Amino acid sequence: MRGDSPQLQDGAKASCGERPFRWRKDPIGASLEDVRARLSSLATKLHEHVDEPTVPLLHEAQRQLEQACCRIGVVGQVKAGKSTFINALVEQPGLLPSNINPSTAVVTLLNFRHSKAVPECAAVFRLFSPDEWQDLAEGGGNLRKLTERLVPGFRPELLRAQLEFMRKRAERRLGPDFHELLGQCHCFKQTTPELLSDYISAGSDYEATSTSERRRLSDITRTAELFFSDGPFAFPVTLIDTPGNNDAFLVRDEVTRRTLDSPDIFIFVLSALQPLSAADLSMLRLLNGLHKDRIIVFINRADQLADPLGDGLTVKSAVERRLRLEFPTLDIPVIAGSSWWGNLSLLADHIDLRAHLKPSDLIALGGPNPSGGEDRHALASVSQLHLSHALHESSGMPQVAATVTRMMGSSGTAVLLRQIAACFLEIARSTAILTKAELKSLEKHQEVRRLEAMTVSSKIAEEQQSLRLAEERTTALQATFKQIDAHFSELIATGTEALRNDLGQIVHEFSNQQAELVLLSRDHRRNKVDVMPLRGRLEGAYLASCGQMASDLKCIEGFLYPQLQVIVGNLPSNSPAGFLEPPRAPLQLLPSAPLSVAVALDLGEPWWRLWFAANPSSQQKADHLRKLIEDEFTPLIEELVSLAQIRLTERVDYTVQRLNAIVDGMLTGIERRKVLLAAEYSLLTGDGDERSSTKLENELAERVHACSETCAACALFVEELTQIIEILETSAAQTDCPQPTMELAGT
Amino acid sequence: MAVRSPEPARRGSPPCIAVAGEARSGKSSLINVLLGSSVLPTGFNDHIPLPVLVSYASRLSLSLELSNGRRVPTDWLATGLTATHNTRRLRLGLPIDLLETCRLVEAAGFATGCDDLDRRALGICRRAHSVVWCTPAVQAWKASERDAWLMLPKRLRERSILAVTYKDAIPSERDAEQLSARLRAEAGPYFSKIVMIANNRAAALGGQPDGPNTKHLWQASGGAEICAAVRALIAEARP
Repeated sequence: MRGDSPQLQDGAKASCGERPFRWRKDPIGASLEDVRARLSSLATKLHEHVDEPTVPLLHEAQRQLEQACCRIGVVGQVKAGKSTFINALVEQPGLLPSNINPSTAVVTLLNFRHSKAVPECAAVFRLFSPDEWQDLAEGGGNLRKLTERLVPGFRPELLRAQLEFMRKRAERRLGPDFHELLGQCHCFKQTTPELLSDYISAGSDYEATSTSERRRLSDITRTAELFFSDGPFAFPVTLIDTPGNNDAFLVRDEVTRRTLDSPDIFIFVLSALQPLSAADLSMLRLLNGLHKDRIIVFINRADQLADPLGDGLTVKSAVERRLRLEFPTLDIPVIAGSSWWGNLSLLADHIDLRAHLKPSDLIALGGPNPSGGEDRHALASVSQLHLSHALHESSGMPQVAATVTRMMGSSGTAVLLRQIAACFLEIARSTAILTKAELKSLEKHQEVRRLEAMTVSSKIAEEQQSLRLAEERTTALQATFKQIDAHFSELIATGTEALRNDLGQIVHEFSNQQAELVLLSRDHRRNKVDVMPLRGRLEGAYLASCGQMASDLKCIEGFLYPQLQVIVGNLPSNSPAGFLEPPRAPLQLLPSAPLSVAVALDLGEPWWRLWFAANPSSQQKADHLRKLIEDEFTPLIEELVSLAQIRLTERVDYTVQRLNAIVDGMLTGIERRKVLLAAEYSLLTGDGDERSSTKLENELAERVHACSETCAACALFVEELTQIIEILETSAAQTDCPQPTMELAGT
Repeated sequence: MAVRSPEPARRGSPPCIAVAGEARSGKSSLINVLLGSSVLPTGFNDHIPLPVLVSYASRLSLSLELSNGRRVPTDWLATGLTATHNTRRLRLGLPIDLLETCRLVEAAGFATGCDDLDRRALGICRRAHSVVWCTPAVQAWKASERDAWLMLPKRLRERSILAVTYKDAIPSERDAEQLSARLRAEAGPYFSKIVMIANNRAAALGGQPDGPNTKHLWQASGGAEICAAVRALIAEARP
């Protein structure tokens, strides 16, 4: 028995709700979840001690903590076993539908949030809006547009035939009134295999007769989202199941590309039978181009090899060798295993495992059994329990889980947590310092009150004077910060403009080069113009230029902060300066996602042959090509530039926000003390009576008490936050210097 | 009939049938099925990065043909090391009846990520009388295969066969039906015939067997059908 047999799906139904986790892997992302929970509770505690202006900052951080979620994209060629892999990883055999033909037609998001509460909706399906459907079904969506741009006025016969097929099928499946469904959003309280199959599966509609009475909506479904309150993940995770690339059904191929830019981690599923073919490599190059260097390669279907363990190791080392050759700078962990085995092991309580395994598999899996051997009777004695454990170990799932946990440590999510921790640390430190300063002055104040009433008056006047001075300086500081803000903005504006010009120049040079080649070449067998090198060059220039801008910003920060420390330090009344440190978090990697957008020049060779035929003379070819390259890449450059602008502005905003928070905090402190002084002063001048004097004294004592509490609390916060940051840094470092690559699952 | 056959040079040489497909699609074992004996290595480590031309010879011989036409005797173990730009192909000579009526060539190298190999393989297919395109059942007929296939002339495609290999990996009869329904719709128009074959099983049977039991297995594996289909191609080429 191979693949997802019907038996497996029946078994899944039986096992729903009472999944036996005898060999449960460690919860994925447990350490990161621990950090998130600690930060969240710290945010609540900090809230009680901080000044008014800091509160929005805390709220924002708390919101980010709540929404933090690691996105894991599962990608790979059509029929590599992505859905089956997800079923095994999330320990729900038969959850996502699978079929001998390409089955997943819709990008499916599986949201795992660990909570006791049952999610409000278990499944949400969004159908295409009438406009989107029109665009896709009548025109062929993006693919059609690309074709139109490459060979204007031409509609490939194949695409037309497939669109016609899809339209007719939607009508046949959903009735002639199916247009009324468009734009709807369907929510369900419970997920059933039938439901998923209706909305996600492409369905085996090539058969002449359709006996199913259920409505299959997958043709018109745009996204499917599933929600789970339980699962193998400790940290909130969204798994993204994608239709495979390299699908002969052109309309489906487009769906995947659009989802590529959002995940933090990619799991790239290969088939052990045809590992790393050209389509796999081009997909990996695309991911690499996107700077998605957190990629895990899972070699699936090891169970279908003649010798699962031996051949599995061969395939694994061949894949590793090829990956090192293709991507020398990347460290891509490779894990070999079998989702089929993973699912089977989960069903041990419901089915007889032996009936589903080849004798050779039994030998391979039952190996460590003391009574093992090739003797049939000995094999029969391999216990179900032992087999289930061996299947679990050899499936590769525990290794995938461990690797995902490790990678999460350096993912964008971890960087976010580190930033939040650093932000909290600064808040705690600055609060501590400000409070200490206030405490000192309060204590001095109390002492003076006790000592001599007469001198108080002059002391008050003195302090008022110094406060005025402090206020003036702080206001001046505020103005300086505004200037810095303006300076930053200007820097970004000029920098991005230069970037735009540079990238434009590269495209221009490339298009001229290619046009020249077309003019010179008499070789009519040229298949297509490969724009991958142009992408590479653009990315290189883009990253270099952004790196330059970022280091300019850093340079300014490095220069700015010590200056600020001096300025703030010179302020009277023990103003805090120690916490003014430049941001330690590295500038987040710039996404080069726009570079992965498919352009007309990416179309396959059949289209290029049309193009070569459509332009008779070499000069025409050259001119058209030049214009085509420039037209296709100019929008991408615009997107890159605006992305750079957004990212750099974010960084600058972070600094500016912190600067403003500091000034605001200082102003609040000054204000508070001014109020106290005013009350004191009015008392002194005889406006107050005895009662208000004791009241003031009580207030003073209360304030002192509150301040000492805050100081003590902040000291604890600082300690805990330092610890958290250390944890985060250690786990990130572990990913950067990878452990030796893992052995084949189960060996 | 072949309108333009760039390899008519040698008078009387029998028509050439190319066996092509992406890496590990079962080309070698399919040739073994046709030859009725396991001559080509099919193990996991036995990938040959060179085309193999199998033709009639009075006794078994294996040689490496260089680009200057010179032939150097070799053995299977050495072939992995000798594939460079100045090697053209491997030539395997066998005293097998079928080879008196045709020559078989294994066109290695689609979708390896190496353009040069792809171009070579395309060239081999173009020069052949017809092609048997191998596609593995569990990942059958991907876009990359279709794109490569559509590069070939229509006339050639129309007298070619799509062999769906590793038929035994299909879980159930119903799955097999669904698969062939899709293939009929998506690939059918580009081939004269689609054949499903459990290539490893058929190869293990070692050609057309006599016993009633093995005869049934031979039928069930699809070996009988592919052999008949290829014979029909040969008959068509030699009126």
